[in-house]
Amino acid sequence: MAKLYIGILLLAPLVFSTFQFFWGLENQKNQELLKASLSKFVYTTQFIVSIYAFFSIESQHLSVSFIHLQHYHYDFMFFLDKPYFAIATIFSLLFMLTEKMSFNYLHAEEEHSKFYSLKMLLNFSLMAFSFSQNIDFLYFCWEVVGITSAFLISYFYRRNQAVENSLFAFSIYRLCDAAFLVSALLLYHYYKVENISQVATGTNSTILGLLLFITIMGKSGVYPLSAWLPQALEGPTPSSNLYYMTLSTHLGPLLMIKTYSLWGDSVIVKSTMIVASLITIILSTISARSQTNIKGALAYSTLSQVSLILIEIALGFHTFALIHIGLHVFHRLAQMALSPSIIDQHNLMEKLSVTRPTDIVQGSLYFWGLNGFGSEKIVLKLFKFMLMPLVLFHNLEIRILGQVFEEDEEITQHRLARSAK
Amino acid sequence: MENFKERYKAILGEEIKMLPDQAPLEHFVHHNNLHHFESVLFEQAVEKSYLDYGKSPYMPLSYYRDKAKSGDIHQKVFSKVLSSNGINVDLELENFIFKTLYNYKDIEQVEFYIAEGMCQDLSSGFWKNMDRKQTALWDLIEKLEIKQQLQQYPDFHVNRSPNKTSLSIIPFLGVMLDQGQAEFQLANHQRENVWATFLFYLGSIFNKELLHRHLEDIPVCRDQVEVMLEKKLKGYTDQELLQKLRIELNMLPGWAGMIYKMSKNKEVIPRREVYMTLDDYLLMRLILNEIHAINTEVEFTQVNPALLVKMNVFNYVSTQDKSEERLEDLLKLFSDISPLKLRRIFQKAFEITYQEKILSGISRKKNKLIGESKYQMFFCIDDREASFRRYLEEVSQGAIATFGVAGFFGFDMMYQKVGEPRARRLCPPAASPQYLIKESGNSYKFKFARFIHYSHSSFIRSATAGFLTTPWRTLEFKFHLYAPRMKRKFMENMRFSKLDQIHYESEQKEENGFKLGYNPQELAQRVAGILKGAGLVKDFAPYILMIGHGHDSFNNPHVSAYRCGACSGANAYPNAKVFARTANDPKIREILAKDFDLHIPAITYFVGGYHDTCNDDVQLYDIELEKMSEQDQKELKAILLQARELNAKERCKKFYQAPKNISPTNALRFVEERAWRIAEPRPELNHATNSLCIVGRRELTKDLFLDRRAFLVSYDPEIDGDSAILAGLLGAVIPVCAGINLEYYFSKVDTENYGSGSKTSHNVTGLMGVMNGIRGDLRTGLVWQMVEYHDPLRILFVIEAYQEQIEKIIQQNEQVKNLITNYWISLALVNPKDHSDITVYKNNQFVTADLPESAINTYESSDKVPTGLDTPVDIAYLKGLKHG
Repeated sequence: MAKLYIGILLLAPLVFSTFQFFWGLENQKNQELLKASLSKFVYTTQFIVSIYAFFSIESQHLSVSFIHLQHYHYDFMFFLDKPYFAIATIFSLLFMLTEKMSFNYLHAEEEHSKFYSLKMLLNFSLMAFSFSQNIDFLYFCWEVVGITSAFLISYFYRRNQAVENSLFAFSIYRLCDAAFLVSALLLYHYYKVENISQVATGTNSTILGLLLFITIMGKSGVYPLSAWLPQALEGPTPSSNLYYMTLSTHLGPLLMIKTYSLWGDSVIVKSTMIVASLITIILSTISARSQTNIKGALAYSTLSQVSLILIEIALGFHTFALIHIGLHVFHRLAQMALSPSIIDQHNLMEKLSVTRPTDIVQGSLYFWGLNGFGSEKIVLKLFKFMLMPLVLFHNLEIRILGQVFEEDEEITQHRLARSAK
Repeated sequence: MENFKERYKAILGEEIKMLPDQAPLEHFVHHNNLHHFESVLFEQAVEKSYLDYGKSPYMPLSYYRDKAKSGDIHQKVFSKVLSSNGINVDLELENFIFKTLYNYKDIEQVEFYIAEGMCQDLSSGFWKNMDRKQTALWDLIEKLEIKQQLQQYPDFHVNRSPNKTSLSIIPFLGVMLDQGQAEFQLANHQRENVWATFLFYLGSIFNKELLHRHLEDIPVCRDQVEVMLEKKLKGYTDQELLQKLRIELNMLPGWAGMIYKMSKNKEVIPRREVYMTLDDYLLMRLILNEIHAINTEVEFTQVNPALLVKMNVFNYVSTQDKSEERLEDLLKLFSDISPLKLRRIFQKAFEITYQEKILSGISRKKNKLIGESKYQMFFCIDDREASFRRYLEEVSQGAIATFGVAGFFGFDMMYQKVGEPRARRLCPPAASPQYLIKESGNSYKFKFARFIHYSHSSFIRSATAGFLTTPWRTLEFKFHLYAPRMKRKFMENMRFSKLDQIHYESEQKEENGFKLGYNPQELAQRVAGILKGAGLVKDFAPYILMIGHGHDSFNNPHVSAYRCGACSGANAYPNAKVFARTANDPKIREILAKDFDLHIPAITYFVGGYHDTCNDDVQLYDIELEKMSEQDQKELKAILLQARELNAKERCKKFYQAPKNISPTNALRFVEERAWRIAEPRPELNHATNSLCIVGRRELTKDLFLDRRAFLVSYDPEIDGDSAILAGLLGAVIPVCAGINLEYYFSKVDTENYGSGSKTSHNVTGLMGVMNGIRGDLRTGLVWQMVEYHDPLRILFVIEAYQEQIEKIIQQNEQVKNLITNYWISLALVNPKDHSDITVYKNNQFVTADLPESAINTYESSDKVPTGLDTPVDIAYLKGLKHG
């Protein structure tokens, strides 16, 4: 039974996303309804399965053999537990709601198909991320989330700014992913651990914990790596909503919960997390309040809540943190979805307005907050002096990947010229 | 000193004309994007803006070629336009020009390379696949020289993606123009002392040493701005100064235009005072350029248009197997037709094809007299009301006669709703209202909502509201998504209280410089103006309904653009209500009879109403009060329901996602749901495809299917002896309709520069504009989803009037004269005595139209017409019903 649940949750989106990629990425209006219905079907199935499993299943480990050679074998290991099915339920519900939103919203857009395929791929990687216990598979899912995210930031790839911001976000992802990779290598080769729920003797929880915390700093926007998040809101509203208000940002806390057994006994890690999160809370709430645009305000506001969740995790309240995630994502989802009507909302509330023409935040503090307390500058300096080669490498990489989606104009012209003759 | 100031002012004054002239979103009014250039010929104006600023003048050739394929551009018309441009060619060559010359791939390629700055690569790959004979031909062609001066591409290309200066100044601009969106606001004195605040801002983004080096350049107060500007720009020659200003302003045209608009026109500022001026902005940019060490020099792009011409000659000769003798002639001919010129010719042919179809349809139509009717209904002239009027007349079988008047019904007022702190104008943008009308009554507002709303940015409220209200909030959100209709009906019952008092009678007081209410004489004057303008001076029906129109859709920042254009983007129900109540007043009727010679019988009863063009809802006010019998109410409501359903069905034919063969009842449900969906960028298609305005009696347009493309204005030439009515009418109608039409035209031909791109990624900022991302330019103009289905045609005015009347009006009214004589609109006159006699305005004179016969289908009734997105029907006859 357990295998069936996992099979449906993971394979359904994988199959359909592959299918959609092969379908072609040019938007054809008559395929829109079909694609939307398919994804609706997948998400609804996931929702039903995960809710059923939540009530029926007992927590158990599941191991699926993938490669078995003479000297080498690789097993996918999953831990099926009620909290993870709860998360899967929330995720699939989020996808259902976003799906309903985006069908009309993105009608006739040039990049419609790209959005659908990437969203399905994201769904797969999130589901796998929830249940998986292999650290390398976790790393893979984590990467896929980053890549799809970068592609959707540059959804309007004809605008330079969108592409630049996409690159910026992606660079920060990769910078932090390096820490993930190092921790994975450490676990494999130094401590001989491949399942994150095993605790091998002799692991240095401080080093592992700090590495994992650096990993999540990027996606969860812990200061000073927070500047990319508001800038990443370049894509269409449903995709910004899905990634930066709800899923991608809350993936960090989830990883910390999953790997708690690896770093839970280190006081240094916990105190680092608490201090860094507190700083983020204070700075990003000031930033959020000084933003004059709605998406920026929501982005900073999300950051402060995610940091609060991180503090809860560091203090050991894991169930509470999970509930907090579950409630907070829906709260933000609704706010972001309603963000275009901010003027109407404001009119409705005008007499009760709590905006303060204030002298408290005199001068500089206010303006620092406006630009995210120089976080962008700090990150850029980091890149400039330490990781220039890395950025260059990824720059190249994203360009190569970007070309996949764009037909080479010259080739087209050759072909046309030939067919004309 | 004097010299520089004058030069600067003169050049800036010219450059400002090209900035977008859009007010904050709540005051969105359709206007001609190039309205400063109306005194110049249309073609000159758009092409100047293309060559100097890179904004497209016409659609790309591919668009016209598609239109030619679908029959919307006739080759006959094309060849006529071609020869009127001095190009006379034989049929074969004409075919080549019509179908293949400058095949769009080439054009887009060139534009792409210009944008990327690599023009040398233009032709690489072009001759890779040639055989030997072709290579020889190409060598021959390449050696030839082209003598003509070809200027067909913009001089330079302003890269619109923000540079460092723009990125660092946008947050500051956001703060200075914010209308109250951010939770932390600068105090008023901080906003007033722009430069002190700017220094603070610089302190937050640059380190001290860097700032100290540039401290001398930063003015301390407003008085020093001019001196500093002079210091920075003194050395520039006129040409350099022009280019400098042009580049700096066009880096962020949206923000620059908004700063200018807000600093000049205080009326459009919704909430908070704005102190920044365009001079401040320019100086800030110059300072930031220096700090960032950015050198914004013009990059001239070297385009080689001759190459393109040669490629086409080669194409022609090699594909048509022509001899190579006439190469030089061909070269000369093709270089005469630059791509720009070809697009101009196609645009002209596109317009003329449409006009000939419409005019020949009108000239050959047999008019029927309209008999007596039980209801007379007044609508706005809006093109979206045209189909609704048609259905009302059809369904009621002649019991309803309709009229089209400007939707503010003559009451030029500022209107203050219950619970709103500010009044807003309910009259055309050109009018200057002097009267303030207030509403009183109960209003219900959610106090609870505030708590949630402001958890947008506050940490503690996010944390608490996130926990406490999320279940409720999620449920509400699901209703928004899955059952928008149910949700809306529930909300309506909760929120809107029963109305309310409107204080429109004069109180002999003034408030904020506005008179409170009208005195009886003024009221009567307005009522008489409307009735006479529409030609209704006798045969009053028992019931006269005044239907204002508006639009309500959910989650749509551009909602004002969908509302009544004659009310400056507001819902027009107060005007209708005031009109009806006024006209029912016995005192007013006395004055009307005495001073205006309008004898309204005592049994006539006026009813105010409101039509929502998005969900096709019609509300009638005050009918339950008196006079209208229950039976009549029932009858009227039944007719309205049926007409609404049929109208919704016709609209559904153009919604891609509506099912085919939807039943009228379901169609009404469909449009209702569509209006209230949470994420719907096309709640309705708005004015898309508008292209026609007919001024005349209803007989002229009755039983004519115009596919919701026409503004219909009622006017009776027979009661207008000295053409004073027509002058008043055209003075209002032509600028409004031309404004709407031209804004659609420009947003369609260049969605990125004139329009505001796709709506899906817009981010509302400062409660006054939208931008892409958190640090982008303000996007002005219409969104892509609004103009997606629009055909960029200049509007055709068909006026039922004599030539002398129009000539007189052209002389009197400067704006109308500019629009007509510079061809921003097309004009055709229908002789009031003989409707088949049509003259058009062409080459600066009126000439009798030469209309070809074209087959026009006749249908049983409007709902039988097979119109739709793929198969538009420009004009068709309806059999109609027999009238009394």
